[in-house]
Amino acid sequence: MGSKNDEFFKEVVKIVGKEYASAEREDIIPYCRDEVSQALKTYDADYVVVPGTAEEVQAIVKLANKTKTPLYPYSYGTNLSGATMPRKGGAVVVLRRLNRILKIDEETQTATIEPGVTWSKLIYEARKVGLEPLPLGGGPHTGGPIGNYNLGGGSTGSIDLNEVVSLEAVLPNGEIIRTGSAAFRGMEVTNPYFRIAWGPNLNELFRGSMGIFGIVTKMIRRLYPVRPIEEPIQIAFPDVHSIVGGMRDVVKMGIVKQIVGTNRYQTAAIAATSDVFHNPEEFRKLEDSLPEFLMMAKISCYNEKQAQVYRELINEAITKNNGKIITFDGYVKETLGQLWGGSSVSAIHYLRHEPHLMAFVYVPPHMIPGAMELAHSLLKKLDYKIISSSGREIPPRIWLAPWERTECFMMEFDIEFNPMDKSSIEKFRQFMPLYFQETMKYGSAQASAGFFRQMEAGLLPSYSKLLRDIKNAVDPNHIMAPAQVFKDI
Amino acid sequence: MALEDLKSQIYHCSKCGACRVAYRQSLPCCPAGEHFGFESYFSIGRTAIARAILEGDLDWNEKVRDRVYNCTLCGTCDAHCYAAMGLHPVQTYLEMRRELVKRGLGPMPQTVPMVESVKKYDNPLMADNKKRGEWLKKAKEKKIKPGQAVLFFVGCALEFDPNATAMAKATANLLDKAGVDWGLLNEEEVCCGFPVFELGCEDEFARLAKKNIEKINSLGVKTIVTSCAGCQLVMKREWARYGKLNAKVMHITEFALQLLKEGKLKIKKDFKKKVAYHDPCTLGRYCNVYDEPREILKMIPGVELVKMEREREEAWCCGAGGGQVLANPEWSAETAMQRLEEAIDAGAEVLVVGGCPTCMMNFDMAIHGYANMAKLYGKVLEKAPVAMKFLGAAQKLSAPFMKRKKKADIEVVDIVELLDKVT
Repeated sequence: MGSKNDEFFKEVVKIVGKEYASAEREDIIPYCRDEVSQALKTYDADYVVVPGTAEEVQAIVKLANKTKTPLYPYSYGTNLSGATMPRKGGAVVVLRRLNRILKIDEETQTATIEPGVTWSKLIYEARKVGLEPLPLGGGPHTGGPIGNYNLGGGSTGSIDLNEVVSLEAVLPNGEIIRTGSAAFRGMEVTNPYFRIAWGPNLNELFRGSMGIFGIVTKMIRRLYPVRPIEEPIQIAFPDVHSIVGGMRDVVKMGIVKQIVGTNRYQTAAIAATSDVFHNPEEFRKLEDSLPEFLMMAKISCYNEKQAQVYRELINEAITKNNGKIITFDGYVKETLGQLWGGSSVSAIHYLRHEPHLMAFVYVPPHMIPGAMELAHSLLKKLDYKIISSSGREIPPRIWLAPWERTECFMMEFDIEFNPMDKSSIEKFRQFMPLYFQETMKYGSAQASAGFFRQMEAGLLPSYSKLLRDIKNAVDPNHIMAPAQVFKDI
Repeated sequence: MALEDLKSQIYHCSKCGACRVAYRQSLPCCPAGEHFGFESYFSIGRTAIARAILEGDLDWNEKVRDRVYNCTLCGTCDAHCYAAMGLHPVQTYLEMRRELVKRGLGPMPQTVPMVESVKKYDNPLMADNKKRGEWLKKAKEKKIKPGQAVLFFVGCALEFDPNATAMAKATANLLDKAGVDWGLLNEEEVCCGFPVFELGCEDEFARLAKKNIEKINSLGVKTIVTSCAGCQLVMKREWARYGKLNAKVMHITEFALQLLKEGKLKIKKDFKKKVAYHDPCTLGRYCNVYDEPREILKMIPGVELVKMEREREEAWCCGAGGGQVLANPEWSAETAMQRLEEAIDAGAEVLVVGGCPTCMMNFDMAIHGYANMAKLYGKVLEKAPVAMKFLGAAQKLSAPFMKRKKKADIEVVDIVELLDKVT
């Protein structure tokens, strides 16, 4: 428990002002709990600090180094899987006041943003000049592109995963680093829009780093043109084999701007209005009306002729895989149409679940059906029941998205638990580590963020050692997000 | 109801943050969170505090009180959370307020004199209830008679706030022009209970709700019309916890639109202005009355309705709710100023408020300083030492608001007065 008399607190108040620093538990607790925290052991931070500029972040990091105070960066704060929950006291550094879109550059089609910028703010502003970022359809609209924990995620169709051009971060020693072409002196002004740097591009040091190498304070991110025809196409598939084949073949053509797949129960959760979701009978009707699997793809075309060609190509690809283009009416048409706000209205529907952990696995497409069966069998073994709002037992809701083109698919299982039921939470605790361990057999290269990370044992020792060596070299005092990746540092 | 009964609501908060942002534009939607900066002042933070209390991880104390009461209860978080998760977090904060009052920790000290006034005078302004109806020359003859169908429930603000009596007069004019046979309670009217309801003083609210229900039912009234959004909120949603009201409650915008559609009320003049419409929280988000006032405005020739960035469910609060106009006048006025700036940015020459004297008072405070506000609440504020201190601080605030007058180059009109002018 921190005190207002601690050296760190007294000094940090001088940096940010007394209204932006607190050692009160009433202020701290909200940063130390999230959707899954009732299923986890939680730790309280000692302080919360809300800097307003990158310079203040820098001063805080320097102070933390001097006082050996752990820091846990927290961007806008949509944290659904325990990722930002502090694990060793110290201070939560809240970055929501760094909320400027510094530049939307139409020539390079990029946006320069701070960590407090949300997806929806970026979408809203970029669309004013006919551009948009491409997050995975349905990400939390209140989250930000700079999550500080899982940087730059968001795969869409034929677009490469890494949307980050360059970034600026405060290293654990308080120095500023810039990546990509901005790593060259003066280039942060003249040309920061070039992704390749001298030697390895250190963007990758920060992506998925869980904040252990520094605090990202600025990012240049790619944007894409919004064309006259932006058309969502929905395709029904009878089973998982068919949808994976269909998605793979469509993505291979490189003609869709965004693409995701969902199972019936995920589609229902997205499509329902709140009133329908909370009406068991209506929700059951909705679930029953939907196809087993649904692929939602969006084409972006300059003209109708191009759109027609794209539609025909997609139809050909999906027909081979037992897919059929379908349309919806009424509120379902509207809600599914909103999905392509990516992180705007769509997220409202996307989040309509029981508390759950988004269990991600990244697997080659042909291994998806096996990984799905594995999850089902593990749930059955534990007698783990997921109950839909319709009142019946359902398999986990699923998202599918091509990641890194078609080399790898992201499959997200939403493992729901009843926060009021201790036995449900206990089973949830047992399921998650087991699931991550077992899916490695299916080529899963990365597990979910949050508290269930235990992948180090599965890493090549040489990889693990190099990562630890980098951490020790960059952060000898272990102030940045200790225990977030490595249990001991 | 106890906090324990809301456990499911509290535990189902996924901390997604939908409560913090007007989702279509990603503009701020929570005045408290934006002003105080910490998560504990946003809905997700208060919910986390509630959970910590339920789990014995935090105790009820004054720090909890500050975080629970420093909220305008605008309900934007609630609208967003319901859309996202089907939850109603405002229920949690209201229950926390009630619990704080039970424990002697609430409400905020600055608002205590108002509660005392309600207890003693049946109105929050230490006014003499016998003087109700003084705003209307023919008040005595308009005293409601048994069997009369329409009761105009005036409300304390429209009765006693010198700036708001114009709204009362306009409402009476509208009813007369439409040929409605209406009456007043005059000295028999007591506070609807809204001010004590939002402060969590449930016993006092229950007393007023029961008293009102009993009186109104005894008259056999069919319809209650009110031009106060706060009054209509408690009548429509909260009185039912303490008895069955036999009359239908209609906000003036609902009633006037009905009269216009029936041809009983006729618009005779134009209003050639660019107009933005402000949704009072108590009317829009709490009672889902969004379309009626807009329909009325569209019927007025010459009105060019411009859209503010945040409207309807996402509308930015005027800042006065939840007791803030007394507890945090500076923040309250700043919030109002932000709303006025939004209207100005939308190109509006006039901001029309949808039948809410509280919004009107707060916009007035933002534009003209604290003078009118102090005049209205002066009697209340002078009575308690803590309030005297508060009044002194608040008066100092007048100067900066006055300086802002140039910036707030916009006229603020209540829809009732506007409708009276054009009919």
